[in-house]
Amino acid sequence: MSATQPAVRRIATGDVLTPQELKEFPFFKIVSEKLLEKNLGAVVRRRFRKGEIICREGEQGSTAFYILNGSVDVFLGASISRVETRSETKGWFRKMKSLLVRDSQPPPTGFRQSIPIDAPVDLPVDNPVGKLGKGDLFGEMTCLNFYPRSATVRAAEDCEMLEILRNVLQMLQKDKEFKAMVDKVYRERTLDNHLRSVPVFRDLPADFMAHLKSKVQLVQFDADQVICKQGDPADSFYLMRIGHVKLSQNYPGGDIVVAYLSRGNFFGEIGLLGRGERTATCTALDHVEAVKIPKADFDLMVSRFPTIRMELEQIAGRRIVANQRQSEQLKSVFLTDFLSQSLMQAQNLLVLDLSKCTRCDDCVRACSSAHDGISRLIREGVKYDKYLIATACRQCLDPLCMIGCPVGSIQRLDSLEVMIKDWCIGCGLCAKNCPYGNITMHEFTHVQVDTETGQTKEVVGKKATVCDFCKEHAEPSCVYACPHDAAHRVEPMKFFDQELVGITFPDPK
Amino acid sequence: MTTKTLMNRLSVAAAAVAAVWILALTIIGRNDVFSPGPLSREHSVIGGQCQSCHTGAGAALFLRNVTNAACEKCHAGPVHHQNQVYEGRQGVQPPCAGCHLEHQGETARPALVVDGHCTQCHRSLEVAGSTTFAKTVTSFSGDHHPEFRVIAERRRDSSAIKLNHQIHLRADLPGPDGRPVQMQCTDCHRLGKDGSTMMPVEFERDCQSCHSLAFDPRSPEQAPHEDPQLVEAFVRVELARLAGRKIENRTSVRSLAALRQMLSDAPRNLPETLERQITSANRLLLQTRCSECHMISNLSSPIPVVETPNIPLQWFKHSHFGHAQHRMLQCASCHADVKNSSQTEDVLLPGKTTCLHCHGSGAASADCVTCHTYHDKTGTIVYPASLVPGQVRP
Amino acid sequence: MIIDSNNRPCIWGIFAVGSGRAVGYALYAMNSPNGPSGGSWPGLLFGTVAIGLMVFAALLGARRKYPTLHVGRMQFWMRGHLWLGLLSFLMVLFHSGFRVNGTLNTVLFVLFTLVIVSGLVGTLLQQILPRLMMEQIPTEVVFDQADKFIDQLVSKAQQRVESLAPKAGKTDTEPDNRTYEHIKRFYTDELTPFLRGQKPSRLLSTELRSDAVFSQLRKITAPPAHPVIEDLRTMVRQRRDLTRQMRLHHILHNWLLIHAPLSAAVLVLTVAHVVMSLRFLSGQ
Repeated sequence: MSATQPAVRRIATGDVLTPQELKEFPFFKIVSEKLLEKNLGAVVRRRFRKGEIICREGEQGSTAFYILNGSVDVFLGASISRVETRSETKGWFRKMKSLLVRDSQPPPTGFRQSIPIDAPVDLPVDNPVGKLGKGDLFGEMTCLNFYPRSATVRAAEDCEMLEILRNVLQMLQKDKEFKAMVDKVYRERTLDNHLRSVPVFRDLPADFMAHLKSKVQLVQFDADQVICKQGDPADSFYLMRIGHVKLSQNYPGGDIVVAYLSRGNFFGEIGLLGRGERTATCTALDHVEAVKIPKADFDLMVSRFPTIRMELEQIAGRRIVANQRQSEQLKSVFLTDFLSQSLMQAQNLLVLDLSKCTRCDDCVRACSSAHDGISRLIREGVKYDKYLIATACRQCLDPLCMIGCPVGSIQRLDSLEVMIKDWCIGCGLCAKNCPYGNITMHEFTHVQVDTETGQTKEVVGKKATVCDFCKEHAEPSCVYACPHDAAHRVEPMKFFDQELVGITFPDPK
Repeated sequence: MTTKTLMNRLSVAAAAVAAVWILALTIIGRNDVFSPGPLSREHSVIGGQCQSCHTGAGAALFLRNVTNAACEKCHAGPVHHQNQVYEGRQGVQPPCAGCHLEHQGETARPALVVDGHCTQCHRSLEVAGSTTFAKTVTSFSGDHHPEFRVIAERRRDSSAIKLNHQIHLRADLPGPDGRPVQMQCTDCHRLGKDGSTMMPVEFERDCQSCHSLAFDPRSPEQAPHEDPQLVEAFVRVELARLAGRKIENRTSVRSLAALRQMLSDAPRNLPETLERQITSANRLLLQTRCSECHMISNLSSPIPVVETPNIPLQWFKHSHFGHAQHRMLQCASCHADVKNSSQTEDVLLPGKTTCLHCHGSGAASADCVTCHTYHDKTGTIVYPASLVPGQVRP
Repeated sequence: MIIDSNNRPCIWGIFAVGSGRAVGYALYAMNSPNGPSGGSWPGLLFGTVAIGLMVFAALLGARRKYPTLHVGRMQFWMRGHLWLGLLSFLMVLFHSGFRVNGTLNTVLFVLFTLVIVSGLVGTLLQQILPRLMMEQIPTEVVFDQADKFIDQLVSKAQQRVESLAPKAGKTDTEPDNRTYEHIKRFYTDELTPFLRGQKPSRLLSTELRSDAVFSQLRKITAPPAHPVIEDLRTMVRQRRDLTRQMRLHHILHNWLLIHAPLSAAVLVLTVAHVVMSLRFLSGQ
């Protein structure tokens, strides 16, 4: 689901270039003059002084930029931190509030080391700063799919660039030369990092990597196009460049979306072995560009590196076991109710016992007071027997929140929990997308060091937050604060199991 | 408006109303709102002036308890025992308000102290040295109160007087004019001004109407009921007057001062016949009249000595019996043995058993304070000055 | 809160403490010559304990303003409030010697009794009403959002009704016109005032009458309108549920409007009572 399309057909600022001027650029050759006439104002030349901000992360946008001259800094202004509910540690009277904290643990192995953004570079997690220069095109995803800007771009020196609207960019992409040029940049600059972010390819020697890089295909898909189907033989590996895809699995009870993938994600490692079937259907949600590695190409290379094969086998084995476990759980009869209410494999549920709840709203007040006045709990939701499953992330079958995150920071873990990672830039798209309003945007004021001038200033930033059951504490604030013992944090499998224990039918024999 | 907001506002309002109410009443001086109950009727004269009794100990700025000094402004509370031990300390007097409760309602009597206050010491009395007082008194009934000592020790009346109640209560006793009379108790025994204390019997008022002290048929005068010396002087003067002598400064006043004057002014060394008349009149009086009741030694000597009667004024020293409260009874209901008493030594007081008929069955009160009082008021009973024992006239 | 097996230890505890105190009181009452009185030292002790318990009970209100302070779980405070509050009433009875005299004392005791009684009523309501609400009102709405919900209903109803409006350019058939007129009139005259709660509606306030109204409406309108009528019927049912929910909600919460203000007054008057009684205390 892409962001809504703004109505502007002309860019407001900048020098409008006449078709003649445009024709001077090599890649505008194939575009007919008539079209350029019709779309006057869809391409403008912009000039920026050193230090000017070209675009800010999280802003709405509809244009791409092509750098003619100069260089720019690309960085994330948002602090790399996540929201944690902490208690002020002074003595017995401790209050809870939300803080921004850094993830102090090193990322687990295989985790991405860089943040994917809408540009030919990826930003490393520990220092999210990058550089773009002459001939680089950035902002394609925003332009084509109207997602929010994924990073802040500032002119490192006086520069000149073309700002392009969607219709013109689409035309350009049809041009083979233009395409080849952009792809070349990608291959040279970013493909290496992207490939290395795949656990299997992480430790490949450089020459193998070079060979691989030359052999990969860069493919495109349109919106709603099925890339591969569940059950089809797995024969290739995909690495996402631009756009979003939906990975879904079909079960007797219904469909479940396993993940929404975007730039930097990959799927289908099993396909590299040429064994097995696709365990999920992959559908493009919008304009998707991906790196494809067909099995045939891969086989050749793998024969030289048996260790890679072994790793792949391990990954495949794990995947198959996990899938089996999941499907068994799903087949269990009494869970069909759960399935229909999206409660399937939630690790944690917040249940309110309606036979004890006096509707006093103390739980909401406690959540609000623990989170700087912004409550994440609404006393509304589905009912199951006498329990109300309060709105605190339902772990939806179809996590609409995951669509469109420009930096891919909202993800679904193997346990199927939805998590927001530290580099959320606070654009608010996930909060808009969640149909139950479970994601709240939390404002924080934090001190930032200006990288150029070295001065510190206070910046108000936002982070997307979702109820995480006050994980850092023994009890969620709402449970702690309910006077009537009506709020409980439960593991649904155990909790409801106890209700249903002992229901068996003796063997008629 | 949500319930919560309304609730908060109402709470603030309610607290404010309560505070304003209290402060307003305090400021205008209406302290009676803090009073834990109405005052007794007797104290209602105080009205709302709490500070009349709640004067507070001088040093404490805040405390306004009722001090003993405040009670003693109007009430006398003589000390029970100077050396008593109260709450472990010797010589300490308990606070008035500890036993005398106020604020118990209009009909309550602060003077009626409950038994518990007395029995807190008297249930197990510890006395340094020996004592004749009972050590365990818890109530009036049964064995918890000793028998009256007069009865228990079978005391005898050792007064120097001769009295036979039996004769006096005879049915055909000759009266003042010779006709037979039936005497009643009240003919001799009268109550004092308080209506409760039985006054001593007075000769002039109660006995002389029958026991005449006439000494000469020619004279209507009776001898005074005084010392034999004074009697002799009076007889001498009267007989001299009857014989025709001139008496100077003759007065019919019979006060002690006048009689003494008569003693010094009486004519002496009168003619022998007169002297003989005087002597025989005197002897007659002494032998037939005075000796009828008094013990006289040296009867034959010119100036005999009459033993001071020493009739006890009060038999129960540590309690008070109010005859007025018992006027519904006959004298003989309690003093049952009087008709059979012919001896002066007989003590005709009733014992505890008699009292228990009413005061043990619940019909009449049997509290300690019914008969006893904590405050030592033995000096406050008023007797006629002439009859206070021990006061000898010259 | 629900008095269930979780409360059993509290009940035993309070019962034990209460019995112990009662024995103490009996001994003291029998042995004091003036009878039990608030000013004697056992009386003062009972009074002090009562005040301590009352203050703890009153602190529940303050505690609820800071729900995330780590001073003990809210349930601990709530159970304490209930059981220690009851114990404080017993302590007050012992302190007063089961009798009350004087203006301030009488007012204080009456108000305190009302506080206790209203609290007991509230607890009783909390045993029954939550379950009742859950069973009777399947489509329960967050109470604070009731107004918004009503707005939503009204605008949805309007949408559905306007969808039947005869469209310009199409041939207007008589039945369709009449249908629209009927429904529009019903919407304006009956439905909207009922949804907004502006006046009590005789026709729509019970299920029986409402069903009759709608079936009548179905009879006199053309079939294309029937889905709309069905939707309107559902909305009316939801509004009735909301009315019932609001009534139950008010019953469940309004006892607090007696309990809280009176307890505030009780606290103020208790301070006055303590100050003045200690000031004038005599006979000790």
